[in-house]
Amino acid sequence: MKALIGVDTGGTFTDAVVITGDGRLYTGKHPTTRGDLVRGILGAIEVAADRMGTRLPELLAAADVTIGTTAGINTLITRTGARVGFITTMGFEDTLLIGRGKLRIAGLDEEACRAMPLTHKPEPLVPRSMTRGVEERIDMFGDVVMPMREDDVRQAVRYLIGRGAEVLVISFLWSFVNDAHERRAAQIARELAADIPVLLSCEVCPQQNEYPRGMTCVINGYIYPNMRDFFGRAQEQFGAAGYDGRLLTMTNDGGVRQWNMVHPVYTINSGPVGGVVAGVELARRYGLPNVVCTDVGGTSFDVAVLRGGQYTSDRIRTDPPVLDRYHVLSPMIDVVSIGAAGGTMAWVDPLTRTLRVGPQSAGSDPGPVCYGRGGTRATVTDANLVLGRLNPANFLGGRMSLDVDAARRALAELGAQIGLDAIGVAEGMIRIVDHAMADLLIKNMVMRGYSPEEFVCFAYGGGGPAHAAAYARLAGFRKVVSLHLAPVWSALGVSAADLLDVHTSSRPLPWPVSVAQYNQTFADLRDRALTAAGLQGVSDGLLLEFSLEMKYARTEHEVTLKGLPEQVSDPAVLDGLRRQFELKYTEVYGKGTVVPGAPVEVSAFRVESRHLRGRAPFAPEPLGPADAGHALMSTRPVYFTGAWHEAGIYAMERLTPGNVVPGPAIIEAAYSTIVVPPDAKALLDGLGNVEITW
Amino acid sequence: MSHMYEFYKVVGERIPGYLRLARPAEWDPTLPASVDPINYELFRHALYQALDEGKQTMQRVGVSPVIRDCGEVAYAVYTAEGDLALSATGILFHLVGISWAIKSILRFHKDDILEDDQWFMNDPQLGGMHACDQAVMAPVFYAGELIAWLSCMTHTPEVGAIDPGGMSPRSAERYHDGVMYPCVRIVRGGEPVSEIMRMMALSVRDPNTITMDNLSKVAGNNRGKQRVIELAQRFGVNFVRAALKKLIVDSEALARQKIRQFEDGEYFNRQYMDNDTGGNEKIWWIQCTARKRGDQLTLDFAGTSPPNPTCGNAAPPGAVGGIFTALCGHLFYDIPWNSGLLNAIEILLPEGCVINVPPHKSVSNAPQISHLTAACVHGLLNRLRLASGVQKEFINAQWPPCGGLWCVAGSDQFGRPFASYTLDYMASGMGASPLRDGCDTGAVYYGPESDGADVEAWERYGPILYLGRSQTRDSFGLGRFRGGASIETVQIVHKPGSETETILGPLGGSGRRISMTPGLGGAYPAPLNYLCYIDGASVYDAIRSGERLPHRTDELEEWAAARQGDHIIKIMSPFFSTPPGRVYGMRIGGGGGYGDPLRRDPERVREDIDEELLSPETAAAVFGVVLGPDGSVDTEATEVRRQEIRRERLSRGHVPAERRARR
Repeated sequence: MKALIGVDTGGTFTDAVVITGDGRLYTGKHPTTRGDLVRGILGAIEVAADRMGTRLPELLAAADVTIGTTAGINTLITRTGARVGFITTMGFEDTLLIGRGKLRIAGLDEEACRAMPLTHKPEPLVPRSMTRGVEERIDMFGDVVMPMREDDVRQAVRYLIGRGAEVLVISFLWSFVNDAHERRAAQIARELAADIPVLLSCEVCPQQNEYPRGMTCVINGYIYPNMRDFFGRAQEQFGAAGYDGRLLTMTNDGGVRQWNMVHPVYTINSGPVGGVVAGVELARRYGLPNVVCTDVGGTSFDVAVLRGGQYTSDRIRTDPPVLDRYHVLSPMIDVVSIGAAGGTMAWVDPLTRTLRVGPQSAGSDPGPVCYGRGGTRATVTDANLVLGRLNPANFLGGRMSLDVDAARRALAELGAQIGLDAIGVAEGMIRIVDHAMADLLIKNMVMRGYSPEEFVCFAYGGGGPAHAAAYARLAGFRKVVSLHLAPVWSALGVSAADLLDVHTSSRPLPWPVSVAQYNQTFADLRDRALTAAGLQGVSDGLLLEFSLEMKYARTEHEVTLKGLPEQVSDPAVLDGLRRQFELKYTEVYGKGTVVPGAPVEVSAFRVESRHLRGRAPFAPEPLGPADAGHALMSTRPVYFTGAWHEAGIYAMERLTPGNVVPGPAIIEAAYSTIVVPPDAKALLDGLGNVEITW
Repeated sequence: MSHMYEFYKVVGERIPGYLRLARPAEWDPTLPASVDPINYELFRHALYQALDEGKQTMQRVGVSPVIRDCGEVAYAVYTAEGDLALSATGILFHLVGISWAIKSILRFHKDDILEDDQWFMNDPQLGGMHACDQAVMAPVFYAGELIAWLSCMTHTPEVGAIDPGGMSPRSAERYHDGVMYPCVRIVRGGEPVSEIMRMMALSVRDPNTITMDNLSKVAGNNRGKQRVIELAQRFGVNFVRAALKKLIVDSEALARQKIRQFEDGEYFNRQYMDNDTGGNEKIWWIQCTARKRGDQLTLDFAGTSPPNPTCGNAAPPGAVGGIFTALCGHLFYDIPWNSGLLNAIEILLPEGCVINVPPHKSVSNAPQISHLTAACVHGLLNRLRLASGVQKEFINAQWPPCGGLWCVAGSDQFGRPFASYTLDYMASGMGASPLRDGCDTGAVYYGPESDGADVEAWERYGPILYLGRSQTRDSFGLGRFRGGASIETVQIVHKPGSETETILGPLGGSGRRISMTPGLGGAYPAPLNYLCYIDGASVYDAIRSGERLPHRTDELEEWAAARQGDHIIKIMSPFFSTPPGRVYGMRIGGGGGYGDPLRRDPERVREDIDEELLSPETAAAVFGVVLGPDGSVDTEATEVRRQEIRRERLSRGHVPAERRARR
């Protein structure tokens, strides 16, 4: 069995994870090489190869390589993409500029939205002068209302090429129901401009709603040349290094695909997705169907919910997802965030005498006051330090020392305004942050109709383990697991993800549809899925899941019914699906929201094809004795719920599976600090993770 | 009528000639002070998350496009006494209005307010603006004690009024405005009261929508109730009661701090409007004198026009909705929006004026009047800031107070009953500031989350086909910084169900004869609103004969003339029958401009032409910008032309006689 190699290119480091055919795991790290990312990628894999005692060419010759990259999102954020020419239905040339009005606040937080007169739209990616309309019209049933004027297409193409278009994007109204006009227009465009990529909305994003669809296609076109370039070069350099397969890339929905088989816009957000996919893998290994991944970084707290062994892309927000400052229609693992993390700053509102924490962050520069880099405003990290949770002499494995006195002074200054001392403020801040994290967790579970009691919480990211026990407990979980592979977590997810493809037929239809229509639509989608898999070299072992998106007529929010039969013979089965829809609807929206007899529509038929690749090697070790005395280094006073407690300080690397650490305790690891509250206990499990229960 | 006043007096204190709006209840002042700062912060955050959760639940279940697409949802928590404490809102109009509805339940049913009941209200004298604004209110009990109220309010298009859509120009009295329920129980013991739900469904033209909208509100309240009860368990009942009051006290203090920044004095603004309701050519106005002393602001609307004979009126909750829309969106944007603001701002509404009409008058078009009230107060805020030299980044010219709508009624493309409209005006232009142009197609006054929805979503929603939806050329106030461009649409009725005839009616016709969006600092006002219908010429015929279609409103007249169609401007006329394929259009004026257009950077003018937002004719006539043959700015010719315009202005200008005498 081939080795699976996953690479994650971060801002500072490029991480590689190799999972060998017999299930062993090796890692490699290399500084990210700006300007030539592939060199750093190969460098990181080479480090892993060294550790395996083999050479790069030998390793690559028998491996599948998956690359997660931020090249796409960087192109978008730095506005260094291609000059896109946009062709659309005449009368709708302003669609992307209007952005249904809501473009004004896309990507802004609540506070920014409330200051209405200061809000403004972002600079358009395609200016109006690079947009041309074509006389044509198709209605919602797919019927041609106005035939396409082919001369308009010719004129538009010539005009846009004349204005320097490097990519042409065509998106007509209702093309996802009837693509004839778009395909004919593409034919004409290619005749006139053979050397320019022509990208169609019916291929890139066949879904309803022309603004986010158009925006998805435009962003795709905008990053298209850069991404082609990057992967083209990577394929070449990997070839030269001994790799003869196709490079794979991670997609926003948590799968992998051959880079030339996926529209680049669907790989653009693959960074955080890798971590979530690794969470799915680990959950499987634990035999846990339901997990919430929590990631506490320097500036934000991110949450993703995994249910039934899969991440969820059911969005709880009512808006489409946002990339940079534009709405898009991309299946995305729903990761929600709030500004509550280590660098989050506290402040006092003197008029109302309230202590507030965040959302502003000191980031890593100047960072918390205790870093001594010029930060003057107390952060959550300062509070953790003053309460004894962090070790000033052993921060980041001793690579950095922290200034406790400076942190205490900053906290005391804040406290003076509301009659609290430094400790009172620090404890207050920690409680505020822990509760804010718990509130977000609760909202995200409950709004999907889930109960925290049925879930386990995973914590990673530098600041996660310090707060995990508190926020997980407040949110009603029974257990939290601090993960030890955190530093290469994303790369691990990239290496382990399944080959995933989704094929959709979007067409609004009243329910029930006829048996023939149901069977035919799913049969067509099945053929498409098999063809696409074949092109990626997969002929067997393909798992197909058939699903429907349904909603009440005139409402906008679909409920997805999964695991449906591919073919049915009895119309009664389809009637039964209405009851299944109502049950799911009640689960999500609550009792009493189902309206008997109200018309129901189907919005989309969907087939997800999944090819399972190797599994991440989380091989459990047997549990040994519970006594953790050999890992106890010292004790120190740590502040919990209104009092100082003498807490045991343990070294993570000395713990062995089965060891139990009773609270109050602090477990110090190379990159993070695990806090065990007084009435909780921690167990180092067979997979090397710390499980905290209470 | 006295029985009506008796019932509605919860809204405020009636003093001779005036109504002074009801303030929050008085409490023991030590109560809010007893709340400790850390727990308060925990509570505030958790409460906001709970409200957001309730609001989103409702938004996902609701049917009306204003709810599901456009975010028009007011979801809030009130004290046990009915004062607004915190809101999660997609719409500013209904912020404090519901408070009075809750107080009326407390007054008239005080021994009969039970756990697990929910109450429905759509009476504009108690809350909301017109019968379309419908609230469901839920008392929250903990251990048998009433600790708070929750309320969901949204706009539902069909209310059984004299014409479909609930905003008919024919409405001339309360009894034409639709079925109104002052406060009735629609949930008893946790179950919907079926006879009331049935009565509501059978009183309107689109029974499914009102039923599902109501259930969405019940679902939102259920979600919020569960969370508030959990908070009471976590923090204790006394803490929750005290903390809700502290929210109100804090908002008042923060509001007073902002008011203190302004110079003491009297400020004045008058907002004109036309409101044609068939042959009615009068001009109305709303005027307001702001008296600012220390940290108190009084808004006195004495001098405002008497009521409109038909539907262009507002009741006190509608007026206060407009006032708070401007105050919250433009001044108190960073303060929790609640009843505490009513202590810092005194509002005086003269009895019997257009924004405080007697209960028997029609108020079906109140959203326009509330919008105008918001615009009037926005103009006042600009004056306060300019005179005081503070909060300069927030100075911005007025936004269009309202747009027009076409209401389509009959049956939809699947043959189901239908009566509704598309809300493209959510993407209106915003006002220019002294620093930059107004945002194009950005928002309406009342909607921090304004969303005009996608054309494909509207076409799936009803029997409608768009021929175009565009940013309107030359639609903004011209100035050194121009206002934001507004939106225009061209539509037809397309494939309606065959059984019912389709009728079409224009809603909201103000701003056709006078601009209601003045400029600031020497800029032009924004252009007029426009609604039109073309009779006798079918789009389908034109397509069959291979002709091009009209996509913009400025093409309609010519298009009609070429096909012997009648180009009819329909402003506030009653509904009429239409076959499918007849063209109707709508456009609204954009944001006001800022500063003299002759001081606009000519390059910016050229860019606007390039982006098809400005016609070369306007560029030459108003901005004095002359373009060379290659489309670039001819700097010299521009300067010459600008001097000419300045001279023309001097020759046109004259000093009024009384001033001349003084010289």
